[in-house]
Amino acid sequence: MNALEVSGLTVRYGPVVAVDGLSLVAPSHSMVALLGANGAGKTSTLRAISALERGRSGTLRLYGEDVTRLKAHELVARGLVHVPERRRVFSTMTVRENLELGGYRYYRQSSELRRQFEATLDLFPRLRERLTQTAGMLSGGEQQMLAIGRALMSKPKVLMLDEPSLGLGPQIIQTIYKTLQAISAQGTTVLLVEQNAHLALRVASHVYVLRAGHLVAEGPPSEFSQEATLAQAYLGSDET
Amino acid sequence: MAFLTGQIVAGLLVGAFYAMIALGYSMVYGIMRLINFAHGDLYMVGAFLGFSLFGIAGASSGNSMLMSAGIMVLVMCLVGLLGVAIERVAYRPLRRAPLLSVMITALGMSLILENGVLVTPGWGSLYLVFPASLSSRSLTLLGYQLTLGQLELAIIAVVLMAALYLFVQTTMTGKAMRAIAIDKDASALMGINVDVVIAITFFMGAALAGIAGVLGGMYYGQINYLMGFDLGLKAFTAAVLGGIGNIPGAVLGGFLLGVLESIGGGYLGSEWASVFSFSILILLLVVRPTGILGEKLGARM
Repeated sequence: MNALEVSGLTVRYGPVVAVDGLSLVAPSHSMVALLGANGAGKTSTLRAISALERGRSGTLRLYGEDVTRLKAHELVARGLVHVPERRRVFSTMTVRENLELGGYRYYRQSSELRRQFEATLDLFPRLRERLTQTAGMLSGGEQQMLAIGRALMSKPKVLMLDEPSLGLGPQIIQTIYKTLQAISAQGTTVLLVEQNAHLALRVASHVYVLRAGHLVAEGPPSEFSQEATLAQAYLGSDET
Repeated sequence: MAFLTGQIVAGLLVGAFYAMIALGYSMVYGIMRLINFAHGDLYMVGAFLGFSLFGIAGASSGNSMLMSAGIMVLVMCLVGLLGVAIERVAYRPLRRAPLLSVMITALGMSLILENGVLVTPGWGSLYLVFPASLSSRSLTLLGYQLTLGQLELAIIAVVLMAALYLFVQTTMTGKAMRAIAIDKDASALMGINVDVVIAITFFMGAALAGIAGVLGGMYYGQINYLMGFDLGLKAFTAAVLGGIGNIPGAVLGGFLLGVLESIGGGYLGSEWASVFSFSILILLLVVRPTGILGEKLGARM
């Protein structure tokens, strides 16, 4: 069964077409990566799936159900959760408040909220030490943990992450990717957007490559690592 | 010294009105980066609704506390709903529009409210005598003589403002308001229904202006369809003084403006009160453009 199914997604900003007729599927329990150079339309794709972009067309299915017309907050209630680019934590609010907001859909069920809160802190013990600090005071890596933890608070079925490695050191990237694999192993479907192709190729079960708004390649990661030159061409220069 | 204390107490009372209105300006600005110029007029509408309700209830005969409280709550609800309606009709369609369009719309909404009240039968253009007043029984507090009504006014204002602050700080809806003020898209990604939370914000700001209108009618004794303009301007000044978008800032700015105006007016003559307070505002903005408690001014203003 496909957890997420996007077909014919087009995103326009006025006369500019940022994404042109993109179709992709994320089978249930898979980890799918969407790769491409800067400006290829990866972020626009995720924002359009989350119903944050107005100039979009195409259809979106979640576990077979057509959810194209749902609003952003309704998609979260259906289990589609998006960790936005550059983390976007609520910087003047505390870590605890950020997590609570992540669990907004459960705010009438305090026991559920508490359970998710503990589970999230078990996954990111560093956050437990920082609960009363404002999110803006955290390091980049901790902010990324908070952004992911905040998303996990709503118990996502499908988790979309936009460049979780952006601006982080290699060690913290390792930690975050290990956690992502753990989240995936627990049965959450993951759609990962990355500019850093090496990272994504290592963890993904299926890869889509986007260039200038068009899908230019797809397949299992092994196809791409063997054809290094092809990857080079589609992914841009090696930045790791 | 007694003169100064008197001026300060009088200033704090006027400041309570400024603070209650300033809160609405500040909350709406914080969440939408919109200066709601119609906000002062909601105070005026609250006063007129109170005028009619007290009239219907026959306030002049039995001015019971329970009835006054009931009327205030009713006015809060009605003006709150008016605020929600204004947001829905005038501001929501313009949420992605340029700032100038929204500001012109807010000015238009202000004119609609003022002239709507002007042409309403029974309200009209003259100064109307408010049918209810605050208790004038005098009492002595900390050596200063004031009326029971003034004390009631201060208590109602402080309780409401404290309740609002607690709501925004501790409830989930309050946290959602603060989150939306920081980042609307990220808030939607948390599963927050942004439209509903913005509507609640308008309701609360408008309700506070509405009850301030009833209290204003009772305190000053007369009402007029333009009464919201002057007070709105002062409250806006107070919000900027304290740091717009910031709730404690709006309260601080309101009280500070009331006291400064009262002291300035007391020593220079009351016709100089506004000159004095606006001069303070200009001076403060030169030194600290974000207001006293303000952090960062939004790029849009």
